[in-house]
Amino acid sequence: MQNETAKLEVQGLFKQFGSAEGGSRPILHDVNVKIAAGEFVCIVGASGCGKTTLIRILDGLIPPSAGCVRINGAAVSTPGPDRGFVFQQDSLLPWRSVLDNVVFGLEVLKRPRDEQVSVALDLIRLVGLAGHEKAYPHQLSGGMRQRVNLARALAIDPDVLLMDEPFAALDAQTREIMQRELQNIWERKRKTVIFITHQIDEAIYLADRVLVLGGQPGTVRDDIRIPLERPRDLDIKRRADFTALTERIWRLIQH
Amino acid sequence: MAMVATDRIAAARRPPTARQRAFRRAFISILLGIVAWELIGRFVLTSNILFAPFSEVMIALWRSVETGELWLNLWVSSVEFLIGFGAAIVVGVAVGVLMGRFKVVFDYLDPWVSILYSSPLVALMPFYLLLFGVGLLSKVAIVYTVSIFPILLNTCAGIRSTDRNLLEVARSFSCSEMQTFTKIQIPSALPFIITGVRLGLGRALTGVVVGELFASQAGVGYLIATAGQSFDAANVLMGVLIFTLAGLALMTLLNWAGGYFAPWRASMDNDR
Repeated sequence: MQNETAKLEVQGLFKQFGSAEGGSRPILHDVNVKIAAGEFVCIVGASGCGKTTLIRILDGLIPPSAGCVRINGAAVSTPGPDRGFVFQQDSLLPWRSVLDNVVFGLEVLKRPRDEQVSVALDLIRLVGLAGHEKAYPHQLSGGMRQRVNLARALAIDPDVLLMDEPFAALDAQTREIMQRELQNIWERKRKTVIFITHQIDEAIYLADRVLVLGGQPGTVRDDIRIPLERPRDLDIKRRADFTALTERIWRLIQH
Repeated sequence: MAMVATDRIAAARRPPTARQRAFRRAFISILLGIVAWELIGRFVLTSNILFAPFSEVMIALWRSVETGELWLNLWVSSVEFLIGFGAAIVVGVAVGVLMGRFKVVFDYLDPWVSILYSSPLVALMPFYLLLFGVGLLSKVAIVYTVSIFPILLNTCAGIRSTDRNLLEVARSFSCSEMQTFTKIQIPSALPFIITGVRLGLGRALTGVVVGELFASQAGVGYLIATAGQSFDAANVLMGVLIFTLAGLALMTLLNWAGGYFAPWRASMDNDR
């Protein structure tokens, strides 16, 4: 089934950056991925394995050196409203309130203002920020800012949600709360999600599939299906099958 | 009843907030300064050619208001200031934006801006007198010339220092060039522009004074110049006082404008 209806497909992707000495530094080596509609895929890897480069290529922010990215079968080379990007941190516009940050993408698409507002208000409620519509980013905690970040990406109703280590800057407790909330939101929206993280437990908890990225240059080491039932409670992280998966992925990253 | 009374006493005894205390101290400080001014004028520098006590400056002010002389001169100075400074804001922001956006424009203009920004441009006044005459135009020109560079430089710096993360957000949401400019670069440069205008303001006032002192037929600077030539210290000091108050009023207006146009900054400062 997956072979025919891939929502997002990465084929023979290579990426190298020019280095200071005039040579080139390879970052990604022959990455091939197929992701079905509605799948939640986490990409884990140690820092420096090229995972952020990969997701930036998927969004079209940087071009690949070779290979291609297809969404619904069509090759993409620039950012587009079919993809929503959730940035690591501090990407909210500081001069805009929560509401005006969330409508940003719709404003760019020149949707009517009342549509912008009603979509945004729904999403602000969904991410648990009702009552904070008029607050400015600096008045919010790190976790709340990332909720706004998520709502902003969801507002344009993208086919694929790309999340680049969105919880990396949060403290452990807030991070767990955000993981649970993200799972709930995903259950409701059923978007195709690609989520980058360096935290193995975060990847397993959230994902249907975990892709392990590793090596220099980075390539997909393994593609692991996560058979845990949904919805998942945070306690699942202490279960034996969960820790066994952690162990397995950890070993893959080490080598 | 007794409860109300004790409440009232409690309220009266409540220690003042830091802000109230600062305000009170500033008020006392100004008051002491005025008293010192008065005493020095009465008992130390008693020559009325050299100095005038505060009360006499106030009397001079009152006379000037009565004869209408003050309003006329204030009007002339205001027109010079508003046209010159207004043009400096418009052109400064426009050129600053172009320099911030286009590398070519920046590379060609930056050497000139750097040279002119650091040179004492009021020295151009004699030249402007030859070029534009003793009337309005030479004053407008000097005000414009001395105040444009801080505005231009700050606008340019504001555009260029736009957070790269935010530019990436714009790209990710497929903003057009124009949308990136209006929705990201301009708002992020706004606090810089306001700072530039604030810096330009002080220079513009200096421009009015220097221009009018040099050669003029009316204006508050003219008032100071003529009073100085007739050894009338009270009127000289009155003119200076008027410029000071004008500067203070304009600065307050600008701070308010900063809060209005960049409310997120204002509340950031308050939260600190």
